[in-house]
Amino acid sequence: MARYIILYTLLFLTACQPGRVSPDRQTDTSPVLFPDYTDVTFPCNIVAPNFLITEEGEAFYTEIGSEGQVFFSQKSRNADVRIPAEKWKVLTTATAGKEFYIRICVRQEGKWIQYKDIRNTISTESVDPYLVYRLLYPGYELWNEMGIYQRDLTSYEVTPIIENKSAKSECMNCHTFCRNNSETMMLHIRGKAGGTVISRNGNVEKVNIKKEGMNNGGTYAAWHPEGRYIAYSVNEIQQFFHSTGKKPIEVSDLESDLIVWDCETNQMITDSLIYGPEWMETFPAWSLDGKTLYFCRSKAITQQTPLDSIYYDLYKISFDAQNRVFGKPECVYNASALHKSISFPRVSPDGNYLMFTCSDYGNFSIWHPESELYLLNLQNGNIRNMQEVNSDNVESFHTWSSTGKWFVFSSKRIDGFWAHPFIAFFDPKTGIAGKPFMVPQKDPEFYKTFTKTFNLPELIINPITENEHSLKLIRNKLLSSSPD
Amino acid sequence: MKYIHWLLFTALCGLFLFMFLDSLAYLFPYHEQQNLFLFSHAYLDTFLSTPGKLGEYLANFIVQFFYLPYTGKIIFAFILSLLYLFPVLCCKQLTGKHDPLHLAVLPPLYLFVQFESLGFEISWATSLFCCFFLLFMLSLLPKKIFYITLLPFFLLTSFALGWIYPAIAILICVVTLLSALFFSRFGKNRKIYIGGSILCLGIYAAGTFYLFVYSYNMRERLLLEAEDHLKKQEWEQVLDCTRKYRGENQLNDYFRNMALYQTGRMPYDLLNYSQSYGINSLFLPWTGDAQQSRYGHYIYEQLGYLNEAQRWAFESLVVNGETAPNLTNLIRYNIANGRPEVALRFIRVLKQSLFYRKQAEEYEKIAYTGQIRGLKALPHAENKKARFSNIQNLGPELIYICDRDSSNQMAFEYLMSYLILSNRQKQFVENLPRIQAFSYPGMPPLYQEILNRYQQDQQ
Repeated sequence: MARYIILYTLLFLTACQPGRVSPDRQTDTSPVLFPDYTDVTFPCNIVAPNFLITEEGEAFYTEIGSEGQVFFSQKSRNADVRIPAEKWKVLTTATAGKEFYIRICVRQEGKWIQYKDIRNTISTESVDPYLVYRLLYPGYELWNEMGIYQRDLTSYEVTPIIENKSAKSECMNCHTFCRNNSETMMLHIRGKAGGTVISRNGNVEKVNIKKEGMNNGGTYAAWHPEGRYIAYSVNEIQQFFHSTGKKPIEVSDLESDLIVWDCETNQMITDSLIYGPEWMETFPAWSLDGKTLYFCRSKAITQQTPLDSIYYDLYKISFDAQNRVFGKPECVYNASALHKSISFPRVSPDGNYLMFTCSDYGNFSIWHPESELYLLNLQNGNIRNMQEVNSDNVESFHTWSSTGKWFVFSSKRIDGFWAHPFIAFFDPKTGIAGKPFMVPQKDPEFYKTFTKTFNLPELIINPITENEHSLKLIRNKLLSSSPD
Repeated sequence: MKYIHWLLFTALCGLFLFMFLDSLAYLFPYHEQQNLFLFSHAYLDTFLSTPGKLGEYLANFIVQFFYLPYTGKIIFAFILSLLYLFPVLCCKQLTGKHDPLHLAVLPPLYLFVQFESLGFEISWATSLFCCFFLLFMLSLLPKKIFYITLLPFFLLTSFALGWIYPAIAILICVVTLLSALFFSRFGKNRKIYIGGSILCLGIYAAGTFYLFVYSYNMRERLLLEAEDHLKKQEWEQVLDCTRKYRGENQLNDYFRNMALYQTGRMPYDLLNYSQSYGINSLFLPWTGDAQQSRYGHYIYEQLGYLNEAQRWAFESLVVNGETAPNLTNLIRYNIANGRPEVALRFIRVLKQSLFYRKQAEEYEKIAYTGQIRGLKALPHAENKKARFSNIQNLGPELIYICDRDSSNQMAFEYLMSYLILSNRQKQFVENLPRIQAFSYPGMPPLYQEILNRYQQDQQ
């Protein structure tokens, strides 16, 4: 009797497995997947990267495995492949530090064609588990539905941090964290009722980063590594719309300077060397030790200055946190000499590299198809185009993970219009990055129909929602009309 | 008297349908163009992720049928009328009696009057409909079970639709029930019963009539109808609507001037109409006004100035979301502007709808051709210095378009109108020679008059 039970159980179990396919023909070409999850290194804690097989066919067979072990297989008339979470978990655990394959067979005119295996790698390194970004429709001036969201990269869960669903409410921008930690963070809201909310270890304050006599308020921010100071650029930004052609818009600073905000005394620190009419300074970024402030600098412009002749160089200035004084600015990379322009400098957590965006002119690289990521080796001064991650379309805003082994960046490579978050592995020893991959979504077609753009992606180690009290205070303070 | 509720239900249905086909017909395309129901999990998820939003989902489902000339109106008339019938049937089921005051007729009449307002949310009707329907279904159960299930009903519907709807539904049922219990004793006297019923219904009808007439906004109707005709390129009707409009309204002037051009009367009749907003009667200068964002693209589209039309369409997308007009505009402009990948994303969204699917598939076929019937983008000179639009003032843009494309008659007539309305005679005369590119039967009298006046002034 027991023998029959085992036999029937085995029969039942095997009946549940999709039958393996015996291909009628093999081809040397790799199948095209959307998103492109080929030759990619995934972090070991990432959620299953569901994808769509974009080859034409009547039926599709997918097998995912490694070293003779099959972790997942699926035979379906649908081209979308959704990997169950538990199977992906088994795979990432078993293949951490190794390669795995994705084998795809497509039935065309009744015959199964097996494509060349796709090889991906699971890294032993995990990525910071949360990604914070702003979502908005790709408009120019108006806003209605806008929000800052937190995505759990180990699942598909998205949590709204703050949403603005009223045309009367103001535009939210620039969320910034200190060393990838949500306990020390800053959020900014524009407009009359706007202000900057600074949260430091449970203390939440709303401040106005604009003092009397200043033309502009705080815009782009960078936390000092010790969490006491925030460097801000104070910018006057204007949009210009192309009359013809595919490029819709140019955005340019008309003025910009740098200040440092002391979160303990709510005082502003600056210096005529970084605050004045002669130069435009923007995009501050601190070095690992907090003694150097990197930034981008261009000559001040007039109304007659053509937008395509504004070039930003990479500069640095020393900062003495104890005495709150600055040194003298030094040029790190004279990009203007090459008719190039720099934006978004970001120092790696080990302090050895500085990643920045390079475009042909200006600093609003998200509207520049030619903008690409570059890497400066701070040890030897070498600068290189990160061709392994760049595409023929926009690569722009980027941030490092807390370990420096991963980074996330915005790219418009899918269709040249919507920015999507891409994550790439980075080897600090060689300074070489892996092929980037789009942040996985539950629905593989998500990026084909989602009409909002992902803005300012930042990786964090702990969720903002961890401290509910702080989050509640942040929401209340941000949305209250009171200036303080 | 036994079937009076059926009679009333039929009368309500008939009344609503008549009004929807006649005086309120203009509201249906408006509502339909505000929302786009999509058959997708992602769309459903947006409503399920927030408690109390299911009513909106149902409302959007119903509203999509407003696309059809009759079906949507019939469905909505039926739903509104059922808001009367369900509580009455529920009351009958529970008490075996009718409410002689017919109080249940008040909610549908109230919603009917509210429907006149553009801000009316159809979800009120659909959510109440769901609640009444469920209550009626529960009333078919034994009484004891009905009362036991009331609390779970309230909690569940509160979670799905919002607490206000089941609360109102229960309140109406209770009031109807009490009225039936209390006043039905007078039903023994047939005359009193009929007289009372007629009196009540008369008061309701009179009240509704008064409120309906009081709330009716003819100017709003004319503007909406004008825009609807404009979308269908029925220019004579646009002129007709704008002519009937009493008072000053920039949007009315804007629509009328477009119709004047399209009917070939702009150089002749421009000053026969009040141009109360001066040059701003010709276009909507960008002021960052969210309300205006859905109208600004019309003029630029017709002028072939697609980058600017596209900018307005994107701003409208931000404010009004993924509505059918926003998506179709963005699809068309992006195809014509050589950005098929961008158009395709909007096409994929539009394909998830019921009534725009075919249209989306047509666009998909031509996405890479760059050709859209009726749209012609101003040519772009790659090697020339970038030029940026003046989003506040149409004048410089009209000169630019005329310089780039001397055969653009609309740009020419608008430029002439712009110079007339801004009283720039010298510039008018300087630009008048552009008229030679077009085959007018003779110099339009308005242009001739200004030319003569200018020449006299010079002498």
